[in-house]
Amino acid sequence: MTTVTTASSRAAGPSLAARLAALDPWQKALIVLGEVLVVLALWQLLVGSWRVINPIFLPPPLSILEGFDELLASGQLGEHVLTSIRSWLTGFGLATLIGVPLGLLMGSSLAVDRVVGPMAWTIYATPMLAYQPLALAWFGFGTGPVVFLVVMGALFPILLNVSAGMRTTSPSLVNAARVYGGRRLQLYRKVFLPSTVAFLIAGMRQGAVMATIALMVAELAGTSTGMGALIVRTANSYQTDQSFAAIAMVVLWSVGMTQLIGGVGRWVAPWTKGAR
Amino acid sequence: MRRSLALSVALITGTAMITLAACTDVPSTAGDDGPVEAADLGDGEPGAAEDTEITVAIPFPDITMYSQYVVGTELGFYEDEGLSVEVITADNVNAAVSSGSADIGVESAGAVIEAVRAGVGVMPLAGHFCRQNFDFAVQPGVTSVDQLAGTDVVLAGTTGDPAEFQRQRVLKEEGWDLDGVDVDIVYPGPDSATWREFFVTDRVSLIPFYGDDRPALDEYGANIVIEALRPWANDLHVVGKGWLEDNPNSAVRFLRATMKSLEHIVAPGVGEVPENKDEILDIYAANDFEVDELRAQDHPWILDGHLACPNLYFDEEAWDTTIETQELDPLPFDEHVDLSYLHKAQELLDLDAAMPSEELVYP
Repeated sequence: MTTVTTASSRAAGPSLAARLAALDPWQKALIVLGEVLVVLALWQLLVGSWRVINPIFLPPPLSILEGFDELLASGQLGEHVLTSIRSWLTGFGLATLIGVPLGLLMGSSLAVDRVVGPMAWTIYATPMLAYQPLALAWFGFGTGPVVFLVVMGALFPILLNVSAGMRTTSPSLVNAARVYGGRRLQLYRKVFLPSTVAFLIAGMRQGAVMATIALMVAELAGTSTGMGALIVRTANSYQTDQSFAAIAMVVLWSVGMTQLIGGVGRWVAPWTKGAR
Repeated sequence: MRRSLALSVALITGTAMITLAACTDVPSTAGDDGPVEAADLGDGEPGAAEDTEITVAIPFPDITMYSQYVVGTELGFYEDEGLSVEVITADNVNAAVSSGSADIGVESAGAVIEAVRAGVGVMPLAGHFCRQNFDFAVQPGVTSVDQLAGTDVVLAGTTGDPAEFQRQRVLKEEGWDLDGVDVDIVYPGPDSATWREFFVTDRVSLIPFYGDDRPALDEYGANIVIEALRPWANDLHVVGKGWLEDNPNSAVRFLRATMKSLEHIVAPGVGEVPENKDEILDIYAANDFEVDELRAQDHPWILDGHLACPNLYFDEEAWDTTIETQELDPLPFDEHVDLSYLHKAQELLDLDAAMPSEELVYP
């Protein structure tokens, strides 16, 4: 029985997986696009036309598009988008500024790793929601608690990945650099940093996603502007097409940022291609 | 091989796009089908309850606001109607009712109107609390609205809560117009205890508050600047349209039992010290509510009776007032509401359908 099946599949040519693997990037992109369109079409059909689910609770794609139009027409979208982007960039920038040097230190010094590591993992493991009311209590209202939570979201993936990257640096490379008289700063710049770039980029990509999640958690309460506040406001008045449009924009931002960071990584450190 | 794959992709994509294009008829959500037809409930006593196990969804547990169901159960009012009532909490009461997780819900009037407008599939069944108290505290030493400039103030827990407009309106009517003052309106979350905490740590300069916040505010030395009562619908009873069509007798019987329960709570009448206070507080205590502070008090509003209308008053005027005071878009009452069930229950108890006319003043 097994022999027959194998023989017949051989006769039919290479497997689907092999055929898919052999496709060029454009063909792969076309397939993904086709999948997305099929899902959207099914969604539209099931909810928009057949109303299998009340569209108020899960608006169909065309309603979400209309919701996006309404948000644009309201003239308030720009303020919400700008507020969120400003908080995200500030928080993510701060997280990178803190996370990279601290991660390098943790990776190169066992003592620092022993002190900072457990604390970093503990904070990283705490659900972001738990910090939300505390952030309001510590920083009051406005952008302060939002930026704080974005920093908390992005910092630890960056820090811990950089630290792990440092520890995987080849000892032969370090020894060779030392033999040739490399000083501590040169070691960091010419050996540790290049070999850590793949980890840094991976950490920053994770950090970008976590920063977006933290941004939403922070903006769901305490503030009246920002994409999180917009989602709450529209959901409270059952304008869920607008809520989903806002959610889609946040998802696009998050995915866009991870792709951008990946692209920058490939550009500044082409040798890391395939490591991410 | 590649050609056949590309062709498949093109076919799938084409089908998807065609389907998408074909499905542009998104159904309208706001009803525009003319007036709702009044249910025919017949004369005299209602028939036997169809659904005998009623689940009531409330937004959050509150010792007085949502306790008439507990009282009605303990005193046998629901049992007399052949009903048993289970109370659950739901983050989104309208969604819980619409999805069938609850049979009847209690939700703020503005949220119900917005849900009706959106086509969530719910309908107001009756009023709940028919008045609202608007109590505001400012930081010690603040005596005029101008002194709030440059500070954070709380008017609602979450952005988009229509109650914010009502509070701003009352503030204006009472001489604390925030329109001309440079204040930041902030949203600390839905629980008034959180507002109070931000207030007593001087993070915000003005908050609305409720009766249970008062002792902490007094201890802090807050300046209570407004204590006002408005005859504006507070919460409403809401039902799923499908459930109501299938269970008309259950709806009427539920309302009658709830009215009896409210009458017992506010007896001898709204605005007077409740004569059944100790019995009611015993029932609350038996249901795990803290009643020590309430036992120590002795004023007419102790059980929040000033907010209640025992006839569960609700009508077109209350609907329109909610829309006006919460600055909602207009929505025709008669296209969305059938008050037959409420009127039937009121008639069975010889209660007037109108808003009770008692003049209530702060004790």
